[in-house]
Amino acid sequence: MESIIERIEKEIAAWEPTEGAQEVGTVRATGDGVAEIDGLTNAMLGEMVLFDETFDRSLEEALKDPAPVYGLVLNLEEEAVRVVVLGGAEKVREGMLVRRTKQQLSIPVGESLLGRVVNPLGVPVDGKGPTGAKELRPIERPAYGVIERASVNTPLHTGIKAVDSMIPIGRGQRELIIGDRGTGKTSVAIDAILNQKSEPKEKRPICIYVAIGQKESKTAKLVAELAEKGALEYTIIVTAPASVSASLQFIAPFAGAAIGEFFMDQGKDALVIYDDLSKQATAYRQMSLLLRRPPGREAYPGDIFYLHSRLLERAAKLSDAKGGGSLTALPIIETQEGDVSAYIPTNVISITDGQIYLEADLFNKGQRPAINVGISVSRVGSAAQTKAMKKVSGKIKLELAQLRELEAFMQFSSDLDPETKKRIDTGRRMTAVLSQGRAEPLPFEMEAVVIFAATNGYLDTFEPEQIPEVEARLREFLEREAGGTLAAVKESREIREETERTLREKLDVFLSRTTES
Amino acid sequence: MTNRYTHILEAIAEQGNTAGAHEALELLIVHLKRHGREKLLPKMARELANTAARRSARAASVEVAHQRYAKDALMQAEQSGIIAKHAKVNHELLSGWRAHADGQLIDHSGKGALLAIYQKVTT
Repeated sequence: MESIIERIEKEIAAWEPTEGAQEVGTVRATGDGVAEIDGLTNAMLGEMVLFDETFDRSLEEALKDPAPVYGLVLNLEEEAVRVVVLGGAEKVREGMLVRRTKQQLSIPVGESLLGRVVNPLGVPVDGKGPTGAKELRPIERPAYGVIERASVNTPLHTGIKAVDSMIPIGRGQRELIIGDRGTGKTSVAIDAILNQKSEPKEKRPICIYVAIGQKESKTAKLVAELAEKGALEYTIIVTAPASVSASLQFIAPFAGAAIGEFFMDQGKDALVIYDDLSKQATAYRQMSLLLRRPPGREAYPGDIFYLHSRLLERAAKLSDAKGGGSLTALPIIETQEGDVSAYIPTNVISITDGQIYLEADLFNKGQRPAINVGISVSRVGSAAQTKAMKKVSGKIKLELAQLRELEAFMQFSSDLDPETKKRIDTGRRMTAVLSQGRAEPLPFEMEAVVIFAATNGYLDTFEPEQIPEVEARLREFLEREAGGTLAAVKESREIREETERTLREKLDVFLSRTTES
Repeated sequence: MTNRYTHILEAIAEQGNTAGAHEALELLIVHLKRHGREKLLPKMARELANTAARRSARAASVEVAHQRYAKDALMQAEQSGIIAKHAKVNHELLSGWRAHADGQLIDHSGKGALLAIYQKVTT
């Protein structure tokens, strides 16, 4: 390994003075993370600039705090250029020299980012040293066109029964997770990451979790959980916590998308979770108001829709000619008091290919995940489902739909006819089957088999309140005594006739043992 | 709006102490009074002073690490389009010179070179 001395000697030997003049400007005014720059007449929109702290300081002082402060050109005005400072705004002062870098804002990407926690500029924040990522990718890039894309046809299993059976997500899809605070949105996303551990390594998507405006303690807890469950090895965390400037919170999702695109362009699958875009919208509003852009509805700038649409359009399933890779996006939006008709939620709903709607009422009643399957939808649908899941999910949707219709009558259950009571009980049983613990994702073959058991009457002898316990015992039994059947379903991705026969035999055995005891 | 009026005031000031400039100034004041905007005058004057200060800050400056570099530095800076009358001595440059004017910077100083090498080695 080259020593630092050797490296310095090499750089000194190779050093040549810069030919020609550099374009520079001067800070005219600064405040609230925005600097007004005099000069920089040829600066481009979206260009990175460097605030040169070293210009009027001695070499010794300059080396004491060498961390550069960058800015992003966002407003080109008649007499000045307005720049948003990317971290370290307290170091920017009036009269400071500003240099053009002539580069778009970029982030270092590479395989070496796996298992690391970085900020939106690619600087590691996990204390494990440099990431070693060399390739730079611009954080903003046009999305792939129509011709370069293929239909979404490969499932992305989240390990959550309610999602994989009724709101299936495909690789390359954008599926919104929306709900009030504390309804389990992040949990759904994290379970999706954890479940990828059950995928074979060559097909496992690289997961990128972008934490925007979150508490650092929450992100730290999440990183620890992923590490504990062995999921961190295929995950990259991009964090822009609530304590950083609005500019970093604004660019964080784009940085996550750039990292995901690196893997997609190599023909691999990637999953990016934006948690959450409501905070990015708030940060962008703050920046736009400070840049004196005219405010629109709810004081958001006029291009707030474009902010999210250009981000989410970068999720894609590429054609075979382009490598066949994919980038799946799970954006998260926080609603206020269940209002999905608010400005930002409706914007993002119209952009994405479906939404998973989490309700506070369901959460409080103990239904977890608190997914309202009635109004949640996946526009990709069964094109992103295995045959095994397609076979079993049709009936469960029907039974839950019937339950929803009869829900109003549930309070009169003692006065209802036996047929209606039976439907209500079946619906309640199905709802109980779909309940699942946090951080307990199931491999798809297990999900398919459990739902098969539920929809084929094997759990009808149990009360809805008993279902969670019975289901846990069923899973234990299947792992212990029906491993071959599960493997067959996993291998073929469907429940064939012979597999179904064997499965029914096993379920009969389970039922007889359980009812005996 | 204040900016536009300030531009006009600037254009008048560039004419210098001429009869035409005085007349233009009076016409401007009459116009402002007619439209009830005479209160903008102090702000315009302040803005004009700020513009003048910015212009002065953007004026060409050549710095040298030692007086002996001054003649060469001024000549080389002139060849690159930065024309300054005198060179200022700035020992912090360690060696060489640098010139700065109107959005352009030429840095041939020892300090600039060492900082560039440091950044290359550490990133």
